[in-house]
Amino acid sequence: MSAILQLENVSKSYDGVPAVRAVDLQVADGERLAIIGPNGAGKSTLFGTIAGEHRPTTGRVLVNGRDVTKHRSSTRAVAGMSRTFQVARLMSTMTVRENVFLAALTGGRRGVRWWDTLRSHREVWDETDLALADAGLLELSDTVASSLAQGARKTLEMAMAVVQRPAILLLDEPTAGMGYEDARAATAQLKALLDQRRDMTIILTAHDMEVIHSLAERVVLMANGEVVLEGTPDYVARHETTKTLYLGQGAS
Amino acid sequence: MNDIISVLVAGLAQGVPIFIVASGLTLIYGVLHVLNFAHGGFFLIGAFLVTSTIQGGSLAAFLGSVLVAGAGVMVVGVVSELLVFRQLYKAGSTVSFLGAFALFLALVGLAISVWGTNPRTVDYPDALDGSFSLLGARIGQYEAAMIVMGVFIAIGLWVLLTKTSLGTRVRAVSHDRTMASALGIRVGRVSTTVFAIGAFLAGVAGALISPVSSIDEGLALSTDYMLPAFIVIIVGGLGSVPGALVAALALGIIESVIFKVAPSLSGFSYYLVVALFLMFRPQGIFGSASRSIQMAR
Amino acid sequence: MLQRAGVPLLAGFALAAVLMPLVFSGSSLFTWTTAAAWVLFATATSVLFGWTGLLSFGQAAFFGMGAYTMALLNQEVPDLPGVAMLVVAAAVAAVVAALFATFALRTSGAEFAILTLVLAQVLWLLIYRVPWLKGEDGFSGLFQIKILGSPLTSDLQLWYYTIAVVAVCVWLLWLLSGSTLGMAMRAVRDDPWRAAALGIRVRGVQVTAYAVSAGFAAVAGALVAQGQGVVSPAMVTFAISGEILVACLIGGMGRFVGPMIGAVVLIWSQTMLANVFHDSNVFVGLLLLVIVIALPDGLVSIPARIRGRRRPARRATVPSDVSVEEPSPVSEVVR
Repeated sequence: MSAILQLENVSKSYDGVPAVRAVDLQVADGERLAIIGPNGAGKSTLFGTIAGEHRPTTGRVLVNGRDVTKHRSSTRAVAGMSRTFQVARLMSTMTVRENVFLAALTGGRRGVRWWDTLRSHREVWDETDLALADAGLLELSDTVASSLAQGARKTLEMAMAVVQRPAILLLDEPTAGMGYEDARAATAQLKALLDQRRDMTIILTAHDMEVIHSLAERVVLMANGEVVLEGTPDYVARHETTKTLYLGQGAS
Repeated sequence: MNDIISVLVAGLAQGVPIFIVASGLTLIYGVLHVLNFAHGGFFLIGAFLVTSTIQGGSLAAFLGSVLVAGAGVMVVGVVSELLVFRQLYKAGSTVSFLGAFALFLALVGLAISVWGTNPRTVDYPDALDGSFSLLGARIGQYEAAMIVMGVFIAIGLWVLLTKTSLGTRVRAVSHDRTMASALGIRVGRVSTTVFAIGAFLAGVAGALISPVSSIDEGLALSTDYMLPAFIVIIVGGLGSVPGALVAALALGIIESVIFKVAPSLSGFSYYLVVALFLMFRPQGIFGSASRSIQMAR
Repeated sequence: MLQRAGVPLLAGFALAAVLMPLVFSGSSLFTWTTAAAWVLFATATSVLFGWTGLLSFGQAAFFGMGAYTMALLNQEVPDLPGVAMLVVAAAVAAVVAALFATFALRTSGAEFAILTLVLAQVLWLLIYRVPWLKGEDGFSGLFQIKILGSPLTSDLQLWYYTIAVVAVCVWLLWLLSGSTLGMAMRAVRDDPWRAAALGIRVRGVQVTAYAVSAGFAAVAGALVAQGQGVVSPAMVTFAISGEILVACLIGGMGRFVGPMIGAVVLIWSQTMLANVFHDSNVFVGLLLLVIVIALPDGLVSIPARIRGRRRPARRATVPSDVSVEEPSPVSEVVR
């Protein structure tokens, strides 16, 4: 299998303080990779670098062998990378349906134009309604996003990412901020949703082992900005290093 | 050599009032996160107050007027903070900007209805109405006095912000408002105080330029003082007083050099400098790169 | 379908065009002509401020740029049709705005707001410095507006001409509001990070909004110039920049027609209160303060308020924060 995403010697520092140090990473097409690590390990920074929200201080990011280091996040999104955020980001004044519509529209590589009326995109609206049904959001279609509950916000953001039919889906802490019950339900729903789309490559960050076990095939453990361990979820979960990192952090 | 000294002195003298205005603006931004457009109104009222209160040409009378102007504008500033900005603090920065802009327009209008639209002038104080020679260069006494004044104010601000308990509180609030409040600092009182200091400085700056500029409503957003002050706080980095000092003096000198070398371009150097900064260092001299710049590239 | 095509909007303009001259004449009709141009100015400003969430304190720059371009064209090529002059004015302002925005948008929030103000003041300074812009005196004398080769001669003709141009321009902006580009603008306003992650070129959309807003503001400025026959630095002052924000806010930017209503209210109240307030700054400033503090959603929100039921989720008409990031904590007050 060829690598769909490659990080070569990627480092990122803020005002001279390193957050990610010399990370090399290869993600195969269709793979499901989890990046884990204690707080401050550099997961979010690495994620932002992959998504194109900031440029690495050194190193290269390649998608399908093509250097995209200098591409900004919107360019990468159009090229087939969709993401969710740790705290869901939505168009707060738009309805749930409009949010998904815009995602479907841009996901289909359709540009935005003055002369394109919203009405003229029949097929995008159809796609939107299907996605809403899949995500169980039909009843909330006309609710304005700013008045959604936390769980629904996450579900909506996920629906927006999936409707874009990305080649690479980036999920940043998909169950962050949820209670135990909600997190389990959300994980199950997410797994069902993702299993319909086996062609997508998925990279996620998570704290929750439950999420990692049910969604990931391979796990990368980060600490102090470096990759310290990688392997199957079971291997990483049982490894001494992992225990030391998490328990050590808890004990201190 | 003579030229160099006189150009330098003129530049510094030009930079000082800009620094005084900008230091207040940047302090207020640092603490309240409000871009106080109303500062132009404060500056204008400071200058007008001198025209109304000055008695005779003695230096003491002039300095007295300057203090009265500073104090008067401080009162206006405190009232504005309590009546307007207090109400808007929770509403977000756009609304605060609009509130500040509204206050600016209202203050300018108020000043016009009190003092009219005819330009007024103030004479130099008798003691500073001449010039002296320094290493062969003719230096205006008032220019020299302006620089001395700038040194006093810069030192005063430095002492206030680093050596007093008020300064510690101001820095705490500007660093993290919520945390400061949790630590028992009365954030509202600190904000009002900072606003008072900023307004006082704007009033003093307006008063200090009264002998060198004709005084009418155009001063409120004048291309000689207020706009450069706004530019200075960008170039210096929003919230940074030392940045404002360096940027104000540097821009004053650049402007003074350009006035000497290419008079037709004078007045535009500030804009050229700000354009260059935008291209190469949008966060300013002392600012740190914010996330927005990263994202929007 | 008709609704979407803006037919009610065009019908409204047609009705106004016919009715106004029946009810008003002379100076009142002329006030309506001015108000019509301001309706366009307000709608154009709302593209930037209301839809895209970019606050500009220097809209007078483009309004004035339109007027000065008109004056210069009238002086150099008086035979050019009136509408062609408007198109040139719009193009000039749009290009300048796009260039300016490309650089200025490297900053955001407070810095961007300052820069918009600076732009307007630079233009103001240029008017005094560049000899052919005629400084304080400005341009005066009636401008010829040629339609199909023959010049307009009466206030009534001027009214029909102005309202027709405004109707077409506002209709174009109406189409924009219901287009995918318009939706992208709102997305950028709501959350630029989300918009970028969806694949919207945030900076591109912002620059486009700025250019569109500037272009139509210039048309409005040129229309006012054609109507009044005078172009002076007063058209580029911060008072104008403030007034147009007031117009947008009085009406409320939650609805398309909000800024239009605001513009009419502003122009008429200024005309009627001209004897009360000698300086319009006080009036505009106080009005803006009252709106910002007491009626942040503008006049269009009053019906909902009277009915006593707030809409379930209040759509933000004033973006709660113009800056993309959290106001960055400023630790360097003293270094």
